[in-house]
Amino acid sequence: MNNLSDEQNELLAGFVTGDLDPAELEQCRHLLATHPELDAEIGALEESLGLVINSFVSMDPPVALRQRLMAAVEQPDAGIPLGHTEAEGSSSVVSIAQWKQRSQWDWRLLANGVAAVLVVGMGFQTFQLQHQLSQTEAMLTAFQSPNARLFPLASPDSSGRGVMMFDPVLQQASFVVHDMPMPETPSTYVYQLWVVAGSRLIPCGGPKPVQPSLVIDFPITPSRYSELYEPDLEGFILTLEESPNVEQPTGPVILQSV
Amino acid sequence: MASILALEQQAMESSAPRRSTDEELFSALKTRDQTALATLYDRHGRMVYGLSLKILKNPQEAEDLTQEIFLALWKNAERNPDCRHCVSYLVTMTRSRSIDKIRKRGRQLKLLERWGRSERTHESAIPLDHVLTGERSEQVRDALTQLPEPQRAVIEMAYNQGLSQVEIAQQLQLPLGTVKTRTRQGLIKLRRLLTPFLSLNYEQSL
Repeated sequence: MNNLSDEQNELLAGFVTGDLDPAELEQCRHLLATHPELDAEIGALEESLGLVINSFVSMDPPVALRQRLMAAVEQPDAGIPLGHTEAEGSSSVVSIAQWKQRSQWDWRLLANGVAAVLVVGMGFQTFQLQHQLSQTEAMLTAFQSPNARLFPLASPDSSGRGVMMFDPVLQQASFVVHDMPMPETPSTYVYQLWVVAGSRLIPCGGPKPVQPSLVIDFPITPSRYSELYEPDLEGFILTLEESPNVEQPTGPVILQSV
Repeated sequence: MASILALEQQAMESSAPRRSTDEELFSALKTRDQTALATLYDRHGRMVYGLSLKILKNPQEAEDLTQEIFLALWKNAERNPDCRHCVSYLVTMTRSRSIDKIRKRGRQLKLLERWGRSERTHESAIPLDHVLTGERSEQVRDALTQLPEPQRAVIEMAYNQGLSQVEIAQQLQLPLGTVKTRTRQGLIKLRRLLTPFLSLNYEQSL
């Protein structure tokens, strides 16, 4: 047995299975930072998980697949796997490459939105401007990731737009809004983002937009990512709620997936 | 005699090529080392392909996705995160991209899948007795059978049936937190049971 408590061992296991919530993730990172020797324990858990997954696999990949992979590597610009024949669907979730290709209009809107954020940011104090710029820079960097997923949103009257972007591998998320409607409400009201999955709406946290045009860091917890794996996921809805604890949306829809 | 054997063993170990860690291989990708990619594929390709197949239930799509994932490792080597923990990284990528592909099949196909979900789930979830073959299979089978049933069930549903934790919670009618706890506790127990069969010496961390 190691000297860790059951809770600490579960933190490490949750780190490997990828289902820690933010508080747990912070505890786990602190634990690993203060006990670097635990990296070996993470390695052991990972190898164990790999053995188990492999034990469930009944067949090896075709031999030709390895050859195809290495042949594709020889082609520096080969972006689409050889033999890839799948037609693009109509999903609202698209890769960045597909999104760029299919939605130039959205790209321009997004670029305008980011530019607007920068202009708005110019009116702030220096530290606020730097913060905005670093957020924007981080977001644009994240957009370069092949794993990034983008969900375009619009207000019901189409006057405001937004994009929910996240990278499930890097576990980063940003929420970009441009000309978002901001009804006058008591300060106790909160924005709530909902995952639309089939007939269900799953709460996904509350971004805190303080201006109509903004880039917001919007951390999604590892456990939330498991909800984003929902096969029925169709998009997002942003509502304005009286309380952060509502189980179903009751307030007005501010933005919704388009 | 014993000392000679020990020396021979030591000589054999020192002459054997050292097994590169995943972290070293990921690092080598940045220098465009194709051998590193091939080694990573040989090491983890079966897991990625197998998990893709569990979720997608389509060999051609699983094949394409496996290639896509390893090609992404290659093409984006400079931007890849710290990959000391390669299995988690690949499992996350595989699950995420598999779900994307399911969405792209379109609504009609999804409806068909829902119709046939329970039947195909049983087909795709290969019984343990039939699936475990090979060098370490006996040990892994023993380890799995030593898990308490609730822990074994969630691990099998996640990694043999390809279900998300939310889907597992729905099927078992359990809170999501309970599914997480059982998965974590099951993995901890598996790690202890499988320690003698892990490639690196992790005894010190026990």
